[in-house]
Amino acid sequence: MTMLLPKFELHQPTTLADAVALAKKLGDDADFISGGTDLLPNYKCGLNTRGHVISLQHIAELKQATATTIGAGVTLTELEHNTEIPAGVREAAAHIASPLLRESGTLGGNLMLDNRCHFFNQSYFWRNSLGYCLKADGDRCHVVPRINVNGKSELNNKVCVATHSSDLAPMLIALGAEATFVGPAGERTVKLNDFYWGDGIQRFDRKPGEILAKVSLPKWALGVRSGWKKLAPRQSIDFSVVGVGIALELDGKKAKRLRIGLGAVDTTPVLFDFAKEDVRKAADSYLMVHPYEGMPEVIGKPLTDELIDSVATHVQTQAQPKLNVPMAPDYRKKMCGVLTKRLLKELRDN
Amino acid sequence: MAKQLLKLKVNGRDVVVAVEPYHTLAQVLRNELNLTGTKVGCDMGTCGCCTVHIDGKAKLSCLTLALECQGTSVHTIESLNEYQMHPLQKAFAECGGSQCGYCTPGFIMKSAELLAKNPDPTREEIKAALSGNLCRCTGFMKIYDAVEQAASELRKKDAPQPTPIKV
Repeated sequence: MTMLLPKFELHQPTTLADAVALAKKLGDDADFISGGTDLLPNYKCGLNTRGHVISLQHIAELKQATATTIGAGVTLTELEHNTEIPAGVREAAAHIASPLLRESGTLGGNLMLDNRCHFFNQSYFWRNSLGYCLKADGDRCHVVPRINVNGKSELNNKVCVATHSSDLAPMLIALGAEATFVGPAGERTVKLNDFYWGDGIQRFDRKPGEILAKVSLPKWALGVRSGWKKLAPRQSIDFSVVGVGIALELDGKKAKRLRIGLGAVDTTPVLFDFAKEDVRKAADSYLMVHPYEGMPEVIGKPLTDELIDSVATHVQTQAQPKLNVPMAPDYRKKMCGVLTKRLLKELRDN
Repeated sequence: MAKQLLKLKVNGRDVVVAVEPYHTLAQVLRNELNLTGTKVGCDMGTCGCCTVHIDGKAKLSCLTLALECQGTSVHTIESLNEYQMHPLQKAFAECGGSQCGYCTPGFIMKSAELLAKNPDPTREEIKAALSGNLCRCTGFMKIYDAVEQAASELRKKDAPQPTPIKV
């Protein structure tokens, strides 16, 4: 079945400066494309298409990678085989989609992945018969049909709960990554954790015309144990429905640093930072009601099986998956705890 | 919005073709160049039927814009049997790795890339490499058998030299 792409004009700048200038000129009517493995399927379904597409594939500046700085244009296959970067990032990259898609897909594309939902990622015909949804063409949400506005139940035409299914984002957030953007106003660096906004439509804090240039990891990220576990209907091809990325630093048997990134259970990646001073600053997606209540004391304590259990229980209670991607939310919620427990034990024992 | 000239090498031959910016490589190969060996299954990147080699890397031609391939060298399934059946094609036929045949070009192109990189893959490596291709007929076992058979054939030192197919 051939699904035709909508008509658009393709621009192929060769420097970052040219791409920024083009984006400024074209304004709202342009999308960036790199590997195209997320944008083109969406375009083929007629989802939020634009008249111009700016390709970032021919920009050499985006393709450089060192141990702590990775260009946004680095493909997932390159990332998977890069032995310098933390093991968790390699594992997360190796779990994304299929080998064929990883050959094209890039780091930047995975971080900027469009949020996913049963009612959004469908063909034009499918969506047309249902009456569209908030995220594309429509004015109501089918996942959360009604919301409470000032004590009255109203049709939900405000909140989109589409799930953020990126595998690299939660792992990189657990490792404390920062993202550098280049835009009309110059260069800007933000913590990756502060970058995601918690809305299915306005997904992140990207100013108009800005391009993700690189992701940098702090020095401590190279010295910690990190790992990634993912739950998906099939081991290959499918988007994750639960993803857990953990960065763990041990001092003897005691935990010195523990950061857990949870993916595909909310509109953003969710961070659990068990270092006390950082607790309130960490991500609080507004759909998580009480993000950090009852967080167990971990730092400075020996990482026993009981402690791991209470960490896993905490992660499981806080996760709030919605019924908008494959697999039932209660199962996915339980699996958040299960995967956290398995991964923490693996990281502790290896 | 106008058609643009796309210059590339397809199966070793220089080709110039006028394409729309919104045409994918799969569309150009099939519709403009009549290389219909490359199949389009889901057209969404899920099935792997449309796999071709772009500069030696197996990629999905349905999710590659044709103009992004400017100046590259593309190899399709047609490039494998210019003289005689490629050991992979032969093995797929002999092992029953091809039934309806729609997914076969994708499987063979991905396997060819795997065998070029790793002449002696284990069953697990074959499974991992082919995990992006879907087959709804064979149940995959015969396909894995075929790749193993082709790999051992290709490793033989006294492999027969290619001879033209008798017509």
